[in-house]
Amino acid sequence: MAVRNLWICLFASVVIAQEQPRWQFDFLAGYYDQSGDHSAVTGGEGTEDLTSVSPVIDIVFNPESNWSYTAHIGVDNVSSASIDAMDNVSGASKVDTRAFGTFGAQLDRGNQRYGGFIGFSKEYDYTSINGGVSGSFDFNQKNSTLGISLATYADTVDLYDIDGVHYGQDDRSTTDLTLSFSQVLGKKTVLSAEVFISDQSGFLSSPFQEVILTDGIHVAERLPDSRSRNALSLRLNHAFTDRFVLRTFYRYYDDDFDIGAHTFELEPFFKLGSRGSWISFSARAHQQDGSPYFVLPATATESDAYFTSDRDLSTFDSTRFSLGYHGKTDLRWMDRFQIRATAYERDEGLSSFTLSFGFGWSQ
Amino acid sequence: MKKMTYLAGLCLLLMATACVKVKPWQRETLTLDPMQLDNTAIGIFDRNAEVYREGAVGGAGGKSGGGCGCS
Repeated sequence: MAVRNLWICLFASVVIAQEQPRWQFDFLAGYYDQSGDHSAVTGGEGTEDLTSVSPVIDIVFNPESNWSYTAHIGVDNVSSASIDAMDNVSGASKVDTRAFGTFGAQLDRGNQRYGGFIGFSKEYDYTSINGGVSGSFDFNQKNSTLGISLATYADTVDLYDIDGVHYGQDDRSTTDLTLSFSQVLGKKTVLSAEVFISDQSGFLSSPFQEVILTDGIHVAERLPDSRSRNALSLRLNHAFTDRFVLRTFYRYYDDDFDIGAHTFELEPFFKLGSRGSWISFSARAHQQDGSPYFVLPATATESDAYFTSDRDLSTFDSTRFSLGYHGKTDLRWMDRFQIRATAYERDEGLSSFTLSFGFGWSQ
Repeated sequence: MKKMTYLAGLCLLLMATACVKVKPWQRETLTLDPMQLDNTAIGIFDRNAEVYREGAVGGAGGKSGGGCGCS
C-alpha cells in the first residue's frame, strides 16, 4: 500500500509540475499540387491542375483560470486551370484567395469541458459565417469520455454561370452534429468511436461546373437542394512498446446522394532517440460508390433532373501514403517542429502531392 | 434508420467497454504523442484535400461547410 501511495504522490507531483504554458503559438503551412484530366469546370474533360499554398497560425491563450481561448487564422492561395478558364472571375491574377478564421473559448471543469467557437471564411464567390458549441464529459475514473458538438454554417454563394457571368447570390446552410465516445481499453490501448450527422440545404450545386449533354451542349450542373450525410468512424491506438505505436482508423459513410464509402488508415509511429521525436508512416485506402447524379460527358440529357461531371461524387478507389516527422528542439522560438509529405492518387487519374510543415513555441 | 443504427452501435460500444479502469499512475504510455486520439495539427492539410476530393466527410475531423478555395 505504501508503494502505491508513493506512486500516486509522484504522479500528482508530475501533473502539478506540468503547468499549462500561458501562450502557445504554432505556424503551419501546406503546399498542395494536383493534376488530373477530368475537370468539372470544363464538363469532365480538361485539366484539373491546381496548386495551393496555405499558411495558418494557431494561437492558444491560457489565462490563470479555467478558461482557455484559441484562434485559428489562415489563407488559401489557389492557382488552377479552372480559375484561368473563368477569366471574368479571376482577372489577371489567376489566383483565388480564401481567408478564414475561427475563434474559440473552452471552459475546463475537471471532468467536464464546454466550448464554443465562431468563424468566417471569404473567397471571391463564397462567404461563410459559422459557429458551434461542444461539451465533453469524463467518467469511469477518466477512462471513458463522451463528447458532443454541434456546428452550423450559414454560407452565401455568389452565382457565376459557366461563362463566368455573375447572376446573383443564393444561400447554403449546413448543420453538423458529432457524437463521440472514447475509452481506455488498457495501459497501452485506447479506442474511440464517432457518429457524424450532417444536413445541408440551399444551393448545393457549383454553378460554374459544366455537364456536356448528349447533343454536345454545355449546361451547368444540377444537384438537389438538400443533402443528408452520415458517418460512423472507429479509431484504435495501441502502443506495442514505448517506441512503437500503431494508429488505426476505419470510417463508413453514406448520404442521400447515394454515395457510400469505406475508408481505412494505418499509421505506425516510431520513436527516435529519447527526446520525444517520432517518425510516422501512413497508408490510407478509400473505396467510394458514387452518386447516380454523376455522368460521363455526352451521356445526360436536358430532361434529366440532376447531373454533374464532378468526379469527386463518382465511383473510385483512392490511396494515400504519407511520411512524417515531429520532434522537439532547444530553440526558443521553435521548441517543436513537424513536417509531412503526402502522395494521393485516385484510380480514375487524379493525383496530388502535399508538403506541409509546422513549428511552434510556448511561453 | 441508418442514423439509429449508428447511435445503437455507439451505445453498445459504450456498454461493452465502460467496465475497464486504468489507474492514473498506469497511464504513462497513454500520454505518448501518437496515442492521442486527435489528428495531428499538420494533418489539416491532408484532411482538407480529402474532404474536397472525395464525396465522403465526417468521422475524421474536417468540415462539411464553409467553402474551400478549390474552384
